[in-house]
Amino acid sequence: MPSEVITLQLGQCGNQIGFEFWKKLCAEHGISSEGVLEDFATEGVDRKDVFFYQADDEHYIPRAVLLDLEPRVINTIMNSPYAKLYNPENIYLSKHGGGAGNNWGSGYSHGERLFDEIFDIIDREAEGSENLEAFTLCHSIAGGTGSGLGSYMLERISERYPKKLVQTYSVFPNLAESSDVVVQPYNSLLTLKRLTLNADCVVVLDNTALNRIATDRLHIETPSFTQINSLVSTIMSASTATLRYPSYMNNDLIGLVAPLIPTPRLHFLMTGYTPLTNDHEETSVRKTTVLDVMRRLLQPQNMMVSTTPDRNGSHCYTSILNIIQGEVDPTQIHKSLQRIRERKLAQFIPWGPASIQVALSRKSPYVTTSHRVSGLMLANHTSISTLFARTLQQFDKLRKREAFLDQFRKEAMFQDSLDEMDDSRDVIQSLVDEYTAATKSDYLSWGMNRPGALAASSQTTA
Amino acid sequence: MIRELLFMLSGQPGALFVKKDNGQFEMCSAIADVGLCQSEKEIIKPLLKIGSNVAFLNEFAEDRKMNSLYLEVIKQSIAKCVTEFQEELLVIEVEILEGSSMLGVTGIHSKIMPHTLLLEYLKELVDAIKLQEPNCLLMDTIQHYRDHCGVSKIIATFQQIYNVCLKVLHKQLVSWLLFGKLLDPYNEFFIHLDGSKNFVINGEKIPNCLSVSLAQQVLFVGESVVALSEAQDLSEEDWEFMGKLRKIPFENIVEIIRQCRDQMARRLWNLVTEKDRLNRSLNMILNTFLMKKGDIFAYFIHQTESILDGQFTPVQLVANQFALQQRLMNSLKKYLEEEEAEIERLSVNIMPDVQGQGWERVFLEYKTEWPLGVLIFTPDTMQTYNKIFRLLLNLRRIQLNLNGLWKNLVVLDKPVLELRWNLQHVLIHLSQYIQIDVIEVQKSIMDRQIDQCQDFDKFRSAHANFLVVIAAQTFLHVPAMQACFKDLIHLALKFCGFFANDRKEGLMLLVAELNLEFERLMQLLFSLLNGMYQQSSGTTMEPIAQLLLRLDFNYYLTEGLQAKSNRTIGEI
Repeated sequence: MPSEVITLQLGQCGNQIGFEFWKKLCAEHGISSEGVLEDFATEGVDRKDVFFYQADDEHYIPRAVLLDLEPRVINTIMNSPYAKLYNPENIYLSKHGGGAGNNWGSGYSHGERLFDEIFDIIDREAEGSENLEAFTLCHSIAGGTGSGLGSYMLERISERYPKKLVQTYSVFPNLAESSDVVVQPYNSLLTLKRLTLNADCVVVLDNTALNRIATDRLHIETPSFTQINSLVSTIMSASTATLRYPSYMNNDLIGLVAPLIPTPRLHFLMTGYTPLTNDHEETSVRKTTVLDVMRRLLQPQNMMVSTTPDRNGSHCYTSILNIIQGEVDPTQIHKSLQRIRERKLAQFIPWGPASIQVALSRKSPYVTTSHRVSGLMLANHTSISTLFARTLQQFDKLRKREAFLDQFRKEAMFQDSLDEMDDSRDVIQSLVDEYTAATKSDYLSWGMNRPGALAASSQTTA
Repeated sequence: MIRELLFMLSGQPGALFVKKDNGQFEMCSAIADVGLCQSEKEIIKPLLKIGSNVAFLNEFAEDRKMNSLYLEVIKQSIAKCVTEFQEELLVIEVEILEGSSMLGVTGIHSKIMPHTLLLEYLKELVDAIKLQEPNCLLMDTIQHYRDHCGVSKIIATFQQIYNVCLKVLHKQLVSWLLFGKLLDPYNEFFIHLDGSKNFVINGEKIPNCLSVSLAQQVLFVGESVVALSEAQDLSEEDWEFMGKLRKIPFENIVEIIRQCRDQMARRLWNLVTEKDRLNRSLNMILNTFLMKKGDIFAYFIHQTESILDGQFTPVQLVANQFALQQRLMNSLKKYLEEEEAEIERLSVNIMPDVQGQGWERVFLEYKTEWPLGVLIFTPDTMQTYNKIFRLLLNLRRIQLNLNGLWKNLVVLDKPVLELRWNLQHVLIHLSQYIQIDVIEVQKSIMDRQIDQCQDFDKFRSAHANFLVVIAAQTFLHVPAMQACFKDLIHLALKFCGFFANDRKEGLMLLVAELNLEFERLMQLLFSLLNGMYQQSSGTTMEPIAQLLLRLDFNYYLTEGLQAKSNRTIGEI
């Protein structure tokens, strides 16, 4: 059933990408920065109520909750033209404003302390919706608030709303440059555990890849946050296009994710987007065809995740959904599928049926683009595990040296032991193992009798 | 005696010649011997026959009962023939009275003999006409006699009678073609209004001079005129153009009707497209019957599940129909950006005379504005749309059921997950094939054809083709495929039903069973598709190849499943 989605923006990164996302949605639906429907947009056939609700005075208000432990980003939002867009009651800034100090443990224990206040907001928002289907969480996994508070929230939401889908847009740190957050590997791993156990679907946004795309594809030498976040918001808005411009299928979130995720753990999705052009050099020369779009979506350089090159060539797609927006000649779809199969452009799992699902969706009539057709790929690919394996490596490096653990030991969770860290490591190792198993034809009998897997799953169902 | 004879010949009985009950004249026997020789007596007999015929024709012509436009003019023509004959008699009588000629019975006989045959034929014609329902088919009877008599004078007379009938037909045609009015007080024309206020052709009333296809064009032009004048959309130019109809001779009418048709097809096209009616109706059908607006039906299915699961007694039928209709309206008002009046053209119903659950019996009705309902979205057409609708609705409902299980994936074992994944794959890609490879592709082909044409009738055939191809490519006419789809839906239902009942015991056993059933179904489906593929060629081959590609993109459902069942057998 068509649904409503509440977006939770956590921490600096979460609020930044959330901010860009709402800007984009407003533009696409013809809603002004103050939530008023523009005169040119009154005849729309789009569905605004998935992400917005209407206040008594007809204003459109995002179903968004903005949370942060330090004021900088939220203050920026509140000083922007979009200040009046949000429901002020849904903006929560920790009173002492000290932040989580880039410490997962601090973010997590802030969550415990602020539980009542935060869930007052979330519960009110949930009760106010008519047919709530899902929560979408925007955050980064490397810092303190998005990762720590985010982890805490994931646990609580999955308990409190067991029937609602929990989807996240999770920003993974840029590994190409050294970070000033030295405990990033700890933060990431601890968050990954919650993303594995407490989320239904994680859209991985990898800063390494996003920066590479910005420099290589968009020719920006030193991409700014805003430029990167605009890429992210493009992905987020395109991935919700079928909800907002409903057609035959995929018009609720479950209809988007269920066909992509075969087994509970394999729920980390990568995205690809094309055309990625800053200027119009390429698009103005020739028409973008569906085949162009579908072929380019399978090229690694358009993927928003930087996976380690696969030397054995064993990694494969579990599933693909291409959301094609714009004017499309439908006869091209089949031809493209045929071509992709003939040229073996995509390798699929050997243990079950798999194919490329195509959703044709509208483009917003209010936003002009230089290209007729654009495409987003949501894909479940086993190579995403190389990203987790890298996190494991970095974690192990620090953990072996017992580096930077003091600040964690200050938090309640780690006072007595660091078991939580090691437990998280086990969960992620088993996740990597499962993705590796999914490349083989006997995946469906993999791990059937492993006590670890059972224990982990019983934990979530308890 | 001679005057008596002339009197009788003009059809009047007298003292000497009396009329018997059967309408034949006879010479009164009492005075039969008044100086007539034997040969004269012989000659009297044909004269008596002539008199009888004249009397008969007179009686027919003077019958004032008005029940037919055609009979009326035929009567007039026959009266004219009789009058001509009587005038001939008058001349003879004057001659006799003036004494300018001495005519005996023989003389009179020889003078009027040339008329005998004509009168005889006319009598036969009237006999034949009297046996018929009076309508424009009388023309065919006249034509028959005209073509079979072989005497030029008689042919000319019949032709005259035929021509006056043709004038009536011409008038009726002009009135219909020009004003969309039936000038037909006695139901003689081949077009009439049926019980549901639609203009239809009565095929039995089409005269020989018009072909069936021409009659259809005639119907179309008149209907168009009705539509156009309702819309007050007829221009001076149109009137002038059609005004020509009145003046042209009937022989050229075929050509003119064709021209009118072209003109009307263009005008009607403008009518339905300018005011966007055609697009609107097409979109409505695409969004509902072909379920392009999936969110409407996701909601509708959710709202009506409990009703459509049921099997209905006639009493329940009425109550449930009301509930269904209400929910359809709710779904449409919630999810379709359309005016209320347009939405209310749709209704949902349950077929009363079919067995089974509501899902097998549900159908939509769409009231379109004239001329679309009569000319394009006919009952037969809508029935085909409904068959596709039921297939799509059931595919959609199972997918929603399967999605409902997804949130609980984490507690499920691998064989359960496998079955869910496999079923979901087949259902999604079957739907994708129908929605994109078939419906969207055919829609784009139709759009291109419509884009090029300005002609209502050509649109009509483009749309007819659209639906025929969709029906063929969804295998609507291949019972084995439909059965296979049904089994697949049934299998998925069984699987989902198990979780709804919350009986967890025996799950693995059931799933193992259903997994086997799934493999069997896939074997069947692929052998059916491959069989059809091998028997087909060209354009019929393509869609089958497309479905095969969609379903078996990574070759798992054919090779993978086969390898798997081989392994299982190996293990045993």
